[in-house]
Amino acid sequence: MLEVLLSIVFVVHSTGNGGQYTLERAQWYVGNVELHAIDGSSYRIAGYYLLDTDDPQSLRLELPELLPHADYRSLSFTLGVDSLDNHGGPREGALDPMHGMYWTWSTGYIFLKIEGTASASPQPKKRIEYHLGGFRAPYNNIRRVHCAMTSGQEARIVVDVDAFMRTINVAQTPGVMDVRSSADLIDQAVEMFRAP
Amino acid sequence: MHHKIVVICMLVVAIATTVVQSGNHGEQDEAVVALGRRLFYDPVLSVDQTTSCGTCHQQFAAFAHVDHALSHGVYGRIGTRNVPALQNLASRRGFMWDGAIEHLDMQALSPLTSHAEMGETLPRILEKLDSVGWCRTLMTQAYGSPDITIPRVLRALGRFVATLESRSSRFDRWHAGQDTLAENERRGYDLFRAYCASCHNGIDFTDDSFRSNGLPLDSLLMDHGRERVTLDEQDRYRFKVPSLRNVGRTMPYMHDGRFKRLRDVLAHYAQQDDLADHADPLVRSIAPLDDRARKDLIAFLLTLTDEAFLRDTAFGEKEVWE
Ligand code: HEC
Ligand code: HEC
Repeated sequence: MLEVLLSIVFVVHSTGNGGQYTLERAQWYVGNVELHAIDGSSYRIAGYYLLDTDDPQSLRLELPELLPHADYRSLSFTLGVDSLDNHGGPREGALDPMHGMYWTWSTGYIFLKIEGTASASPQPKKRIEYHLGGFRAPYNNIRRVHCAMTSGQEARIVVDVDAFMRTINVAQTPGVMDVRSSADLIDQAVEMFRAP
Repeated sequence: MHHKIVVICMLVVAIATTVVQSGNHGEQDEAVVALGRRLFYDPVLSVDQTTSCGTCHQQFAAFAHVDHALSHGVYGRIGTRNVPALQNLASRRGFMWDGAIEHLDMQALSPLTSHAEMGETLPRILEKLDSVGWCRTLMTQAYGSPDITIPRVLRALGRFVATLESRSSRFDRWHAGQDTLAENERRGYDLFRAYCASCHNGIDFTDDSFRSNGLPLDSLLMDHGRERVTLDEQDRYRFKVPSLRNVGRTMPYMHDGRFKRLRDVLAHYAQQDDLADHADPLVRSIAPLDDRARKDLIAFLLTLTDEAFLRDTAFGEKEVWE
């Protein structure tokens, strides 16, 4: 008996890797979610969600009521904002520049922000700020994330910030704020999203 | 045969209409522009309520800032670039001296939040606009509901600046056979076509490219120009070829306002020994310009002044407050 899939919940995993860093806030865009069923069918939910650890409710994506009944086993989504939406005019809702996920000095959305402190950071107050995003040739930081999921009412995706932080040399790279430096870290950021 | 052509034409019209409609989302364009104009001149948008877009972009200077080499923002903060004229922006491909901004409706985000310009945060802008009576009324007229949102503010500002169209200078009238140019102005135009139109090309005297016209780097500003945007070393020291319309009124000149008068600009192009290494070959191929050639060129540039544009009450500040 299949249960109806109702929501996707993102669970942030951040222990600090033994006191090496503290996560203060993470924000990221989830766009154009696609659910893939075991029978080969798929269902696409067009649009964007902005997830924000400061707003725990935002970490739960409620799915449309009319979602076809199927045995969904994996899902994919854009981590960020697809290029057409990135270069259009101002958007309302999740893409409203109001949310601070937009580089005002250059055209483009920030796809993912990870902010906090780390003992190895040479920045004032030991700040770390990774703002990844952007799409400007030759740099394209738009990625699709693929995740397996177990069937049930609620699909869970772990956001393993510990794993991301383990790939970074904080003393060397305490922050990233532009499209080129984002290109060096974006694939590590994609790896952060995994099944529980 | 005839039928086919008619059908295709109708299709094109149909497609064109859909595009326009879907772009507008039922907005009332005139009211959106009116809202944009009101916002453009209202200092409430800046952090200390002293500085509006119109403070830096003055109509009599073709919306540049006369006599300020670098922009002056809130709390007397000095920016790093010269305020460019705002004209015929709907025909441009990129905005700012380095083309950092690709969409005109997104441009206003930069001055609104930039520390050295208006220095405000977007949530505070919404709060302030919420507390002034006129904003909801104009939002309703423009967008059909009173909600005040950042995308609405941005679109209105973008639409207003897109209406700033200057295409009726004496030169335009002469070109259309409706006016005359004096002999020195004609000579200037010939020189311009020979030496300048390779970059200052087309109806607005810009080919929308980014180039170096040979200005040596200012070692205090260290402005690398287009490279900051493309992150490509080849673009170092390249800046947008600016439109030269109304150039007689937009002094000072260049991205950092280093030249006060057109005379100084001409001296730069004429004295080729001062050119920086990175100068575009098209600048290097300008022949030495003697005193008369320089004066003729300036006489031609002054025919690009569009008095009607500089006084058009549809763009002015005064009427906004009446
Ligand atoms: C403190 C002065 C200042 C204020 C206030 C200001 N601007 Fe500007 N504006 C500038 C400068 C300087 C530039 C060029 C910036 C650059 O190249 O980096 C510019 C560039 C622009 C451009 C691009 C023009 C082009 O040809 O590329 C537009 C459009 C514009 N401003 C509109 C506005 C609007 C709308 C506002 C109000 C929301 C505003 N400005 C407020 C100084 C200012
Ligand atoms: C290689 C292309 C090129 C050629 C040829 C060229 N220019 Fe320019 N011009 C530019 C660029 C690029 C700028 C902006 C440079 C900057 O600000 O760093 C500029 C700036 C100017 C400005 C300043 C405009 C303003 O608003 O600040 C004037 C005036 C001007 N050029 C006139 C001329 C004249 C007259 C000639 C011919 C004698 C000429 N240019 C030839 C590329 C060119």
